[in-house]
Amino acid sequence: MADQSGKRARTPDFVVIGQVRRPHGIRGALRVAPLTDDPERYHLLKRVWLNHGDDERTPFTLAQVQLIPDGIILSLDGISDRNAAETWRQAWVEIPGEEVLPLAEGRHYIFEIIGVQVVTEEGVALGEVVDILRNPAHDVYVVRGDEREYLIPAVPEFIRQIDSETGLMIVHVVDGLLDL
Amino acid sequence: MARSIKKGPYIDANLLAKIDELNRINQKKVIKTWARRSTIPPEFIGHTLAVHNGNKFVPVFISENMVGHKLGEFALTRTFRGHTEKKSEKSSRP
Repeated sequence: MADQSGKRARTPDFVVIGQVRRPHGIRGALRVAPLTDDPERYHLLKRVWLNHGDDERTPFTLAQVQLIPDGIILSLDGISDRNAAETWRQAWVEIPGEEVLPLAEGRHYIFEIIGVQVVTEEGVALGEVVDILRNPAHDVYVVRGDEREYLIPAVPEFIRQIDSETGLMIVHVVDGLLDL
Repeated sequence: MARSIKKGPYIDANLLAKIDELNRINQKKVIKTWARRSTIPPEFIGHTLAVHNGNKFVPVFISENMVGHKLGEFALTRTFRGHTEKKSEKSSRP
């Protein structure tokens, strides 16, 4: 899955792990909404990059991390007062793609799934995964073909194989699945 | 107020008949349904129902821990377009 630099296949250069909500207190701390499966991973970090949605990223060294029930409070070296913290409202908290956590067998990051080509077991190409619906029962992959969209439930009964390196997903099709 | 125990759960009769028929011939097929209020009985386990969410049919694979819930709970009617997850460290498990 990972190349020699430790980067997984199809991983972007930077991966978002949170978004700054608002300043916290008067000493420049930031309240962050986590966008990662494991918020505890913040304790493993030494540096993060803040980004306002463009390609200009500013690296910061983590001074303190505190997990709270509705998010994370980050103290960063270089942001020492509330005025400085205010400028980072809504900024994305990012890490380099090489630093993403390894996943359990069978799990895939969303950025690895978006864009893969979907084919049936019979070899018929359906299209490309363009979105993932996070439904309560299970995820649903939105596959856009030439003429229409297909919704494929993300359960082993339908998803036979995902190869993120070759960018191929093999699905099992039952009667009625492609008529939705 | 909760539904009376005496009545038993509400299960859409047409849907149940279709599932019973599929179980009888041991076949799998996606069934479209608008019966969001129908309770999920154990007979539905392993089948895939396309539940209408007001806009389109959302495929829902019925598993054991969904028994007793309503079909509508698993086909959301509103789309949350808040956080962008496409480049985040979030994962999906088929």
